[in-house]
Amino acid sequence: MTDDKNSRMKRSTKRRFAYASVGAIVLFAAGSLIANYNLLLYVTGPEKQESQAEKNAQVARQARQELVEQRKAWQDDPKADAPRPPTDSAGYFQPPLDNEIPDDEFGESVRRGREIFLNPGTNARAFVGNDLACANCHLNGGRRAHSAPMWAAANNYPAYRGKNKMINTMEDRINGCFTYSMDAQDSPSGDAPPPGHQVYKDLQSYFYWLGDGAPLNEDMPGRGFPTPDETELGYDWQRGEEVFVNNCAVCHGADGQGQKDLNGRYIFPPLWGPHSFNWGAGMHRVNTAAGFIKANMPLGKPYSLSDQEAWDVAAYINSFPRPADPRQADGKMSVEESKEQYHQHMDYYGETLHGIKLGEGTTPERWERFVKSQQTAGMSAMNQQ
Amino acid sequence: MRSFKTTNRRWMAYAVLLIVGSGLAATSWSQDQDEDAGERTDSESLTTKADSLEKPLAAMHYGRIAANADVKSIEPLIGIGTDKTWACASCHGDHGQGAQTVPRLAGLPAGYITKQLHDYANERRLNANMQYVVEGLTDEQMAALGKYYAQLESPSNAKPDLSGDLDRGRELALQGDWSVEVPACYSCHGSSAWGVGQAFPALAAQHPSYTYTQLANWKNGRRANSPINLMHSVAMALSENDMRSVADYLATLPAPPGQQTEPDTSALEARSTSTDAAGPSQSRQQGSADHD
Repeated sequence: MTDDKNSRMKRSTKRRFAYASVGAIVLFAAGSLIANYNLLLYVTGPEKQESQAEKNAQVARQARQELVEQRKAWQDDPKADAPRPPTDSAGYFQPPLDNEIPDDEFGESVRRGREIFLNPGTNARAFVGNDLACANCHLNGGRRAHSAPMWAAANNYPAYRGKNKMINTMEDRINGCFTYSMDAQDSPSGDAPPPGHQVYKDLQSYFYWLGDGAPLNEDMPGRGFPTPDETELGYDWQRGEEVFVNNCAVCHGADGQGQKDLNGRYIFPPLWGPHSFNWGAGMHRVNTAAGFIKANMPLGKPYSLSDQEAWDVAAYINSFPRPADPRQADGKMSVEESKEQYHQHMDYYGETLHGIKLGEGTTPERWERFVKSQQTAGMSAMNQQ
Repeated sequence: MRSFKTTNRRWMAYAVLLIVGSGLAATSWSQDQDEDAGERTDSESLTTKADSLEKPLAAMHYGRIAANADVKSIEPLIGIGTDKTWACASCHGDHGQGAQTVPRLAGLPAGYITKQLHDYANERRLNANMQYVVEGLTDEQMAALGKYYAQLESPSNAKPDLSGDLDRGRELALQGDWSVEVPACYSCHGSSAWGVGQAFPALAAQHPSYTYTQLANWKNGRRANSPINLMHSVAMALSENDMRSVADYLATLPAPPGQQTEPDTSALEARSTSTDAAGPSQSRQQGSADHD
């Protein structure tokens, strides 16, 4: 009896251990498979934890929704709190979302304005003399803080501008963009859009819409480009050359002339030469370019350059020939006069660098000669192609 | 009782041995699999030998070398292989179209492909299969392979299969997500994601598992060869879901056309010098043609 019981007990113990071991092996094998092949996703379903991007999107939607509610409350009751500017997760102004473009004539104009802004070379072709787009410097379609966002500019005009010594409406301001940054003098029409042109109306609709909910005449955080602190060494284009080769050339080309995709569309804009902004554009000022670069370049790696590097590379970019300042009135005014009158700021205008006097204005022919002379002289990174 | 305890202990020892043994077997088996599966997404202890001195213009450099490479010389390599290395087509397909985690090569820039082969050799990019393959390749062969696959054109055989959110993927491709500092894919890889220049490869019609794996590898350090770490920054900011969404969306796009490798620039210069007299009018035409 006891023997039999004992042996049965032994057997069942053996069996229990055998089952347990087999079970352990199966579990272990399954576990190692899941771990080794990242199959967890298939076991648990898609990740449920909210990503940072999703959180930010949620904050944006909520801020815009609150604005709608506050407006409604204030319309009905003057004693209710006045609407506050909606803000994003970083505290900057939150412009409206794409689905907020109204489904009416104004919305149509906003959409047209946005298309011009993203692709003026196609959508405002008659007035564009180079290969740039508004959105090259006003990133994310004019939404990005510290990239001269349009929501911060929309509510700040009319304003007096020292640059042209007059009260500027938003139309006047946009006219300036076409004249200098888009180099309208070399465009098919030879000039910026004439007063009252539809291009102005549509761009203004787009800006006004982007500024929906922003306070009037307020210096909003994130406006314009930041100015990096001045460094002890100052700026120097020769130091900037190395910064350029190491951080910029992979996109903008060793010769700074940008790169097109297979559709013939410029993906990386030219930074100097005949197809870039002219000597009257704000970006030719070393401080302006340094601020833009520091806060926005390389794309996706903002604030990765030191202040010194930003200053130096901004100087390098602006040490090459580019189209003439249109205020010279087709050369009736000399570079010296123009320098005296318009260029009392941080730039290389009028100086002779790379063996050429800057400010005289480059054209495709002159540019070709310049490139050849550089190759012969074996100067600058432009030859290190 | 005593005997029971002994058997018990013996069985316990057997069980422990069994578990440890099977654990070891499973690990070594999964390592074998690892070699076969090539790129995986977890990090283990493998890291690249990337140094911060990597030249950001390497792809342009290799592109120029590839432009002058002799494609005829490597044709056997593609279809048949050698005793030192496998045929490219055995994994990448007869038309360079790839499958799953094996990438499409057709229509990628010659400089980019050549650079990747060098990066495998220098362990800036880890993959057991490719590490083995490049051991049997000379620099000239790498350049010729780059040229061969760049000019190859083959229709897309990719389709979304990671159950990503295609609308989100489209948003990332066209606009990016600036709230996490991710620029649009198109802002560097071109307006159809067909690539730009020698450094920025086409993403269109790439296999989602491959695209996803690369993003994961930038995160975990198995790939560290992106110029100025551009892709590292992007990948770090993307969530698991965003990676699947964008990989799936890119797979819906039409494949890039074959690229004729740019003719040697020195030859071009010589020609433009010889026709200098006609230069100005020609170049002005070119200037305005750029705008059309």
